[in-house]
Amino acid sequence: MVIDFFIVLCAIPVGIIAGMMPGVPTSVVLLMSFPLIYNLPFDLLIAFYICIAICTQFSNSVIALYAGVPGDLTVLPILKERDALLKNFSLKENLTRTAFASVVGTIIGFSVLIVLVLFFIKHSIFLLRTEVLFSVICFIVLVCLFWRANRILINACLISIGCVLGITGYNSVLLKEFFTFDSFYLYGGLPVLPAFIALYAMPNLLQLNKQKQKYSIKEFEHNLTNTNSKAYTSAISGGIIGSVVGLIPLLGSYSSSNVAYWFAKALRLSPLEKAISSEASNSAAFVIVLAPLLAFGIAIVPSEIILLEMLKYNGWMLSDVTGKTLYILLLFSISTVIIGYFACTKLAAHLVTFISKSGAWLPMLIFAILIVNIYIIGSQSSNTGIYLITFIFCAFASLGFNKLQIDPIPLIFSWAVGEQLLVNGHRLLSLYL
Amino acid sequence: MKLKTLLSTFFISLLVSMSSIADTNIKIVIPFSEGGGTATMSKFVVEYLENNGYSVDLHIAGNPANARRIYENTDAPSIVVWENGYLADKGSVGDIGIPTKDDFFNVWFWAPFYVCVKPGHEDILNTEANVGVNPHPSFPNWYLDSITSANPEINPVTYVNSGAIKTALVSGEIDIAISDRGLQWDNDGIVDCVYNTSTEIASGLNPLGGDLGKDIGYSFIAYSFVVNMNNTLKISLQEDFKSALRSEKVVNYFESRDQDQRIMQESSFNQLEFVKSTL
Repeated sequence: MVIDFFIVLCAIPVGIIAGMMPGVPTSVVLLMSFPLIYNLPFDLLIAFYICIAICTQFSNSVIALYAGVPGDLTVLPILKERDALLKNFSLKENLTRTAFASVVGTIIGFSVLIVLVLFFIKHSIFLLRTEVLFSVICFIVLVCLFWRANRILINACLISIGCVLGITGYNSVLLKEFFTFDSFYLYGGLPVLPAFIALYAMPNLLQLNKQKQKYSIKEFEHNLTNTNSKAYTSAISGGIIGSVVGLIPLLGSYSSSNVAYWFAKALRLSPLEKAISSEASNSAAFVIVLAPLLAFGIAIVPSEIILLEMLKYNGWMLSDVTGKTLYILLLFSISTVIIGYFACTKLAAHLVTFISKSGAWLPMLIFAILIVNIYIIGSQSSNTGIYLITFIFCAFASLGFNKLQIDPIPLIFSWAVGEQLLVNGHRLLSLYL
Repeated sequence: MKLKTLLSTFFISLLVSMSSIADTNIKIVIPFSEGGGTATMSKFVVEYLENNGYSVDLHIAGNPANARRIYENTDAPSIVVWENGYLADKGSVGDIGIPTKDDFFNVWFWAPFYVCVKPGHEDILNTEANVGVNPHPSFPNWYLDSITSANPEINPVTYVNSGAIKTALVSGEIDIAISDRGLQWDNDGIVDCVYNTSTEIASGLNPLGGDLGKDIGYSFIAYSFVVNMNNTLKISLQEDFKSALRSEKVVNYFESRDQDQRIMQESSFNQLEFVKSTL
């Protein structure tokens, strides 16, 4: 138990460093940590995830302010205001303000998460009705259809392929085989984890070294007389916006910072207030994404697909979410917020120097760990042969997607929810037709 | 000298105790999820085994594929609680894999299924209702078929396990549930479960020739698929499982009748071989 707690605490430094590296999102950190965490108790595994998610958002803004490099799309508002921020305030003050915004955003996001999960637990009987589950899954598919990175027709094709791959195998609820072609090996279905690694994690990671070369630390003349009395208001409003927008599948967590930024811009707030609002919104959104997972067992962001797969590995059920889960999440979130704030304000310079001067060995190390973990995940799989074939198939598909500039996110999500869509859709037809 | 003697005694006793632990330390893997009858009953069985000298590591794997992953990655003597061992189907065999004859035993017993109804649907032969069922091979499909043929207004709706059926029943999604967990739901006051409304149907269609009396169906619990286990432990476990299934908690939970429990390895394995031949 002590070792398990220690592993979860390790998520904090790992998350902080990962957040400073473009191409290493939460999902990649989870995959890299797989051998250590996949057997953790459910509550601690979810706590590990939340620690990583909070820390990456803390340190994303640090690297954006320091080096002008976007860790991911969520820090684009900060990058837009970077020059103005660095002219008006010292770097240290900017870091303190954005870290403060992350703290406020996380607290608000976590508070809303607790309220929502308690509500879900109380009303789970009615929220788990087939109509509700089917509607949530359909909404995810709809968002995939309008995924902005691709044309609608391409998204529709990706969704269709994903659903076919997702329902492949013997369905023990419908007692029917789908696309098994009478092959014994396909009865267990096609695993989504190797697909995720080949289609999403590895292409992301390959961008890491390219992005690292863009690190530039500029010196700005700043005017220290500027003050800002509305920082609290901006942080709180940003946190509330993030808590709402973050619930939108796929788009929510990535666009919440932009939505908060647009609001702040519409209200003609100062650059610092805009940055604080977007940062708080971002932090809140990355916490609130857990609500649909804990309520319906459905992933709404890519990293949650990994988390859900790991949870299912050990037979996790929605009924496992109890008050104890929330208590553990609260405990680790508080620790993460405190350490994250300290790291992003006091240790930022050291961390950025460490990352920027690490050369090629750090990306290589991460890549090597991921490759080893692909093997480990495969060896733990229920059907190693199918795992390997799926991985190779998806790796080649990924090359094609890269060449044609197609984003595979709709494919991955429809693959993940395909079976649930089929079972719930069939049940809905049984109930009403 | 005293210290040496003390240490020697300590290490010898440690070795002896370790070897005795190694003999009785087993892993039980449930290829189904929490909330279902198998997982719940297995906890009672584990409690019985632990009271009788075994050290049991219980894994609720959630699904057959995960169960396979767990037992294939352990050196400990393992047993997969495969509820439908005797009634094996292609899907289960595909997920779990096929054991060799030496690594297989099967203990089964009767446990009744219950018809749990919402008010107004007690007469299941003359009511319009959605009926929640778990299409598991152990489910009394023969019974459901007889009801649906007698009453076309009965609409079967499939769920993944008894837990999901209970949720659907309480939320109003279905009007009637057929489940081996009915007695507990009745005792908990969740719904009224009756098990003798259609005894006539059950008696007329009894597939195995037993006296159904008051239960309208049967749950077919089979323990099978032994992994990495020596023959002595296997034989000993067969008897211990049989006794465990007769323990007071299990019998009370299912209101099962102990006279129907038996070991039937040969016929079960033949069934598996038959399914294998169809793949």
